[in-house]
Amino acid sequence: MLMDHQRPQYPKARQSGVLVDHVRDETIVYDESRQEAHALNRAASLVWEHSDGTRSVGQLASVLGVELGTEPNEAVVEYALDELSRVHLLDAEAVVDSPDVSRREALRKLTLAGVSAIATPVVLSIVAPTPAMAASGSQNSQGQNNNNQG
Amino acid sequence: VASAPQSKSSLARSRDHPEYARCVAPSRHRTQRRVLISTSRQGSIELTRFGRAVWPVRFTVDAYGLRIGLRASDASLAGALHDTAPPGARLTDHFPLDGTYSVVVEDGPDGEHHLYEDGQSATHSTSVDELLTALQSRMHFRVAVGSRTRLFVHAGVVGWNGRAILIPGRSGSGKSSLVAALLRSGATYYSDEYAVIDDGGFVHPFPRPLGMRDASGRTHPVAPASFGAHRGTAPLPVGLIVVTRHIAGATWGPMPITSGDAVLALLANTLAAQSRPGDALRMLCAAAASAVAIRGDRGDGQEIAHHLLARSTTPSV
Repeated sequence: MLMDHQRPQYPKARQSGVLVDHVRDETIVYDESRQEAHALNRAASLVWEHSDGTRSVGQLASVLGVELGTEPNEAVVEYALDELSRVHLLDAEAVVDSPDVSRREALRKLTLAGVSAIATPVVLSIVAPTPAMAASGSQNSQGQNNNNQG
Repeated sequence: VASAPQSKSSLARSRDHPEYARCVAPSRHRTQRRVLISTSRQGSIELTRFGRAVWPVRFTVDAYGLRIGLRASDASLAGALHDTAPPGARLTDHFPLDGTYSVVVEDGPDGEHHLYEDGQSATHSTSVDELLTALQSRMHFRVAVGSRTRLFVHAGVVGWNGRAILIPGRSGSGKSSLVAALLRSGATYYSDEYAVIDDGGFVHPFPRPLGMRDASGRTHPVAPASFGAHRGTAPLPVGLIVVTRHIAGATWGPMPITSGDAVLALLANTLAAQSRPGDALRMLCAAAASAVAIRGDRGDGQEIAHHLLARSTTPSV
């Protein structure tokens, strides 16, 4: 998890250089500069879509609680922000180095808090293949995401 | 690819022909016809005069928005050359061309035959069959990458109960053997190579012969009828996406995955993922929205085929 003094007070989702689409309640984001694609589950989508630079972590937790029908939990939002930061989907000012230990800590807090699977933010990622890669399957060809859960 | 006879016929060649200069040794059989070659703005090469005389076989196809010129120096290759065209391609006489493939057949039993792609030497072989197979592979790959009207995903596809089963995976990942197993179990053949997806997320047939590997690893074309299957003709919505890899001895025990995960699995096998990411996302999301998706390692094909078809019978799986 990001330290309090590192975490942006009002996180803002990155809007430039990304293509966005939706499938069911998930969001697919394509990063044109990094040629990466990410699948955000509903919880991660809600945090990302409501991170407009005006809402605090606490306010985002409230939004998430209402949308998912759960108790507001800032640890969930913090974990989502860590994940979104890891895949470069927050504005540059909001991006802070996120060592694996913080994600493990965030995950531990989510577990201790008894956060349900539906409320746990998940971000899956792949590197978009070149035509040759797609043909040879040299990378991620079986659709294995490269999410690295610390 | 249909069998093509080895040609020994005389060719209309010229010493001025750049392809001729690259591939044909001086011969007393050489003819003296002149060929004018010009490079179009798109970089393709077009015969501007005497083309029909020089190339006994010469035609253009429109395949998924790409215009591909095909030529052969031997009239006996006409049928085989037509058979290399992508399924669904139509003859056209519109220009400019997006690409050109030329087959130059050498005289004599020991001659090397040559394939040119956009005027550049691509490969050569003493076997015309091998050359045509290489041509087909290159051309289909080019169309799959450059299509302006559809999205091509490396995947095996069969139809079952009015829906498509998609098995994304690279060449050599066992798609064809799994598709063959599904065909033996009664599925309809759509493709063992590409899922061709439209704006609405429907999958269109790309039913070239299955590429079945023998024990030595060589690939042989096999008609779907050999497995008792029919070729699909109508576009289908996607019913099941199967993300799997072949592991010898693996027990089939798939787990459901989310639609987003499935979209990533398809995108990882999409040839235009980087060149048309917006289209890819839109089409893949549309395709996955109607589908169930599962992931798991598999052992041998026939067992899994029955499981997949049984799953696809139940919409709520």
